[in-house]
Amino acid sequence: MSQAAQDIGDAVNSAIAEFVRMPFTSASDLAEIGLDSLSIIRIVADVLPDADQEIDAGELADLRTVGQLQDWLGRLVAPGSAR
Amino acid sequence: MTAWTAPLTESQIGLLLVQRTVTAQHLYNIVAVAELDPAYQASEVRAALTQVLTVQPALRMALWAAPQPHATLAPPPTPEQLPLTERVVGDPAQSPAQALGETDTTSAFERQLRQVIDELSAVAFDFTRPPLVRFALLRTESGDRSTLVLTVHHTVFDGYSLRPLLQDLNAALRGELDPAALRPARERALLRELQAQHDAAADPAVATAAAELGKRLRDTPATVIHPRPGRPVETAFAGRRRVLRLGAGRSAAVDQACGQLSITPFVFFCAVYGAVLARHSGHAAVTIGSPLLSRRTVGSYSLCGFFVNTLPLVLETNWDTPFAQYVADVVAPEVRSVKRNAAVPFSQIVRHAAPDRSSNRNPLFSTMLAMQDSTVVEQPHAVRSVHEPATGVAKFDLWLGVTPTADGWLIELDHDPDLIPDTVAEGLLVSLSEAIDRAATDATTPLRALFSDASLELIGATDGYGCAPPADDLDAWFQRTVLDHADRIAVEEPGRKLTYAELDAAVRASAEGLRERGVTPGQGQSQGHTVGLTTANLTDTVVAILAVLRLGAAFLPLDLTLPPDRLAYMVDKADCSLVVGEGSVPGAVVVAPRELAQATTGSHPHPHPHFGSEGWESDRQGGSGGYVMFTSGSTGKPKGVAMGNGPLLNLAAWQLDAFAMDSGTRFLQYAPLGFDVSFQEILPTLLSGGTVVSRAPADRRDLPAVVRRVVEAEVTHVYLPVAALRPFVRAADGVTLDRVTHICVSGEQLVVDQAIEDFFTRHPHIQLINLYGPTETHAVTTQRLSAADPSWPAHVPIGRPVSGVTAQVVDHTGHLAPLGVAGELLLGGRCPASGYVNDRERTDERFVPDPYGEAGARRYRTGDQVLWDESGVLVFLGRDDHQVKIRGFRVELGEIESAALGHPGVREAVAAARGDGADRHLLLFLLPHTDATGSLAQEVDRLLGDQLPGYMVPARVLVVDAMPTTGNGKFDRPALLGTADELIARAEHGGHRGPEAAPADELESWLLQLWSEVLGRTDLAVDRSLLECGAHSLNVLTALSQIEQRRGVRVAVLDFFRAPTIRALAGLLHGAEASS
Repeated sequence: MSQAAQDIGDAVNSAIAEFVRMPFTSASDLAEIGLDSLSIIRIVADVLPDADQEIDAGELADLRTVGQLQDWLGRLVAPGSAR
Repeated sequence: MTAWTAPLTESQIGLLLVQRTVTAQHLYNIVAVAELDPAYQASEVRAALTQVLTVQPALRMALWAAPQPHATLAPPPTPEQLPLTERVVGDPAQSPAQALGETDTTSAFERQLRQVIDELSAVAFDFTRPPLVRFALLRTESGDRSTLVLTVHHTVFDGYSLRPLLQDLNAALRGELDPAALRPARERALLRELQAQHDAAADPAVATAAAELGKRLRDTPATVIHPRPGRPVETAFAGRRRVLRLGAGRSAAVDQACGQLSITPFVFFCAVYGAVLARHSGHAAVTIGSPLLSRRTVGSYSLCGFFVNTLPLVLETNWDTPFAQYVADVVAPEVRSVKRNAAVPFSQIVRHAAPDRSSNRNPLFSTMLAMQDSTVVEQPHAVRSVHEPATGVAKFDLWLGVTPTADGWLIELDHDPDLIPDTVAEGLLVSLSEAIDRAATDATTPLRALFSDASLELIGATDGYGCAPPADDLDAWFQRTVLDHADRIAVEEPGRKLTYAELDAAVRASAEGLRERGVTPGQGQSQGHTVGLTTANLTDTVVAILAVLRLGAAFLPLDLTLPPDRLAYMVDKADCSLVVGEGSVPGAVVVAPRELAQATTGSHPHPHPHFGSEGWESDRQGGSGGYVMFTSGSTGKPKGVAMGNGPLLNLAAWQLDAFAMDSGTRFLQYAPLGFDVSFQEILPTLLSGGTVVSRAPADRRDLPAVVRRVVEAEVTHVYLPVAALRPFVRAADGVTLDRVTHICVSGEQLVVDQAIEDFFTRHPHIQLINLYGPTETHAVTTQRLSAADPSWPAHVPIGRPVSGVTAQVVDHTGHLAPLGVAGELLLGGRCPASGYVNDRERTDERFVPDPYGEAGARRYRTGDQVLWDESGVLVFLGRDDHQVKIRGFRVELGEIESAALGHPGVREAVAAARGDGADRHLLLFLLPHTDATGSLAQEVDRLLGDQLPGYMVPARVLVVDAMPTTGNGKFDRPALLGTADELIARAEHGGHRGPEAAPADELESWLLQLWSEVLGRTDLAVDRSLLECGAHSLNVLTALSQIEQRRGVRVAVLDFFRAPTIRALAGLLHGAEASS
């Protein structure tokens, strides 16, 4: 795992921890740990530093697990960090 | 800073258009109530709100429709300019409330708060004069409560916006907001977001998705709650709210179910709401609108603004599917798919869905579901709680808000009472409540079992009329009447009057003649012999009917104008070998009435008309005797309904009371004998000691002659087919019908017009009684109207059940339907016929066990769709099969199609009815075999004329090149009917469309040019629908704005959509300019 991916993973985990009061892993189902789409949006906004960064809320609909959310955010951050 | 200007989102433009469409300018105000830490003084709140407006540019936006839709920003207000009113609610000691007996500051405060909410809810914003927000701060004098109310227009604020707004307010009150630094960043972020929205809407993928969503909506029936005919197409958008608090226990069950099913609460509530709407709309597929966050930039999540697209969720329910499977297979995928399309603007979908735009209602959906999840406030902060109060407004027919609260789920159901009355909304809430609990408790519950029987208390409700019959069968009752009224006139026709004594003697003689010819009574359930009737006059008919009933046998009316094959089928099916009357009937012996009576005269004299004396009368079983009447059957052959004595006795006993019949009654005999109505004209009259008056010499179709007969014969009761009512009242114009007390109608849906209402206004002593009942049960429900009623419904309900009859409305879930829910009408109690003669299979299919009746009780499935209206009155909606009524005759379209398919040249045949009332007629569409001759239509026309009764022969037989089908493979009758006029024209003239009309004046020329530019087309014509040429809500707004600028006339959007042509538009402009 690259350092960038590791960082985003940690950032996501700590952001999730603010919303979720139960233990979770990357395999956890987002709905099962009580994360609705609004909470996910807020996590995303917390994690992404660039206000101009565009996210396609439609893509969020397909994210089912914590791991998928981490991967998706990782992909969004990667081009930015390379700049 | 350079002038800030940004494109509007399509959602914003859509709302601008709505604003021009509706009169309720406050419709899209968002109102929120926030409880503040009272330690903050009013001046501090004012300063903080000023800062919030400084850093929330959307709240300072002005919206412009022309030249192109765009937004500009106003500078931040000073604290003094801030639109904030402050009010202090006094302590009880000094409060004016105390003078009114108010003892509690809390209630005085709440009252003030309610008043402020009402005032702010009603604010009409001018979009060009920001800020589009108003605040009010209510504080108690003692300083222990501080409540902020705000109203903000939806064009600059969505549900999510509450979060950034309150976050900023908290920060400002803490003194931690830095307006100078934040303002430029936020203004830039708003510009960036609006541009991103604008760019996203132009993405071809969005257009593709919009087209798909639009097509889906076109293919899905509109979700209409309380689908009552005459439902208003426009309302004032008044709203009422019903609240359901689930509380801790029920909420925990919901949350647990969500966890177990791995779904969000949104999916859970969508699923339950979908099932409830499917039940209450009567459609398996329902459309629910739901607002979805469509924000694109990360920075936008700190902004107020309107970044929501309301998208349709289409849910298909199957009542036998377990809830969990429905969630997994239908709801969750649909929610995912819709969320994926969050970038698709509503207005683009409208373009593709091409809905009806002639109403001020939302064009795509009538029901909404909104998760109100932005009202959860983190603590501890200055803003302690926030909620969105009911504002007395309903943007949709039905709106469901689901809010997580500290005490569990809060369910709020807003409804427009003009469309969904209180009792109907209450039923919805009951369905919702029980479905939530059952789905949460056991996800394996099939969808139908989420619900229960809802209208149990309406079973057995009646219209309040009825009396106990004095005998246990019709003939016994008649004989009692003969004893009481021996010398009164029983039957009267021109040149002939019969007293009750004379009538009874004739009945005895004829009955003896029938008995000698082997006619015997029914035993128990068996029908007994069936005797055909082709009698030519009223007296012979009445005598024959009563003679058959006296023997406990059944009479079968036979109309000699029917094709011989059909008559032969009827007598064969009914085991009828003997006919009383005239003419000849294939397969049966016809005996003239005179011959029948002569055979017995003298040989078996019965001088005393006394029931139960010695002789053959004692053979007859009490309660046997009735009739057989044939109705159209879908399989190509008519069905014979065997009606027994019991239902007829019940009907007669009810009717005597309901129609106020007695020995003074003079009932016109108008109906053909083959209509069951003839029974109601004849028998009850002869049981009341009244007189049956013949229609003769008037022809049935000559209504002026009928009216003359009614006047001259001093008729008191008239019973007409619905289609004859209008001609009757027209014929009665200028005539006063002094003696008539009751006019009854039945046969099809009664639609009242002004002429009919005027007639009854001129005749306040006449009651209009609308009756409903299939041949299989006879008349079973009634609704009465008179001049005393304040307003007459155009679509008259069929009313309440006759006494002894139970009416059940069974909805698609298989349960008794709640009020306002369409379902099949099932009829039980004393009304169902014995069944269809010699047709066990079809009898068992339609006459089914009644689980709500006594042991062994049966109910008849009418196949008619009805609903209980808000006050428990039955309203007829139509049929879901292919049965239609033509001039009051029941016609199965399948019977006509089946006959047409008998022609070798016909590959497919589809019959359909069109037109209303007396104009209603049948059309038959034929798809020929390739080897069919050119004269196929004429040949089939002749064939049908030979085989079918006149009323079943189509007015037109039309040959088509292809048979259109619907999505589920059925023949598309509406599509066929849509082409009928063209086919008729083609058949008559081989005609073509005329040339396009040219502009008639300068204004039309200018409009033509304007629209050509707006639509980018050169092929427009002044009388062609612009909607067909690409006009849609957005470019309509542009065009109407330009027209307003140039001509100074504001055209209402709805007026345009109602007649969307250049010619009609020019007419509107000419009209407006002339009147100003």
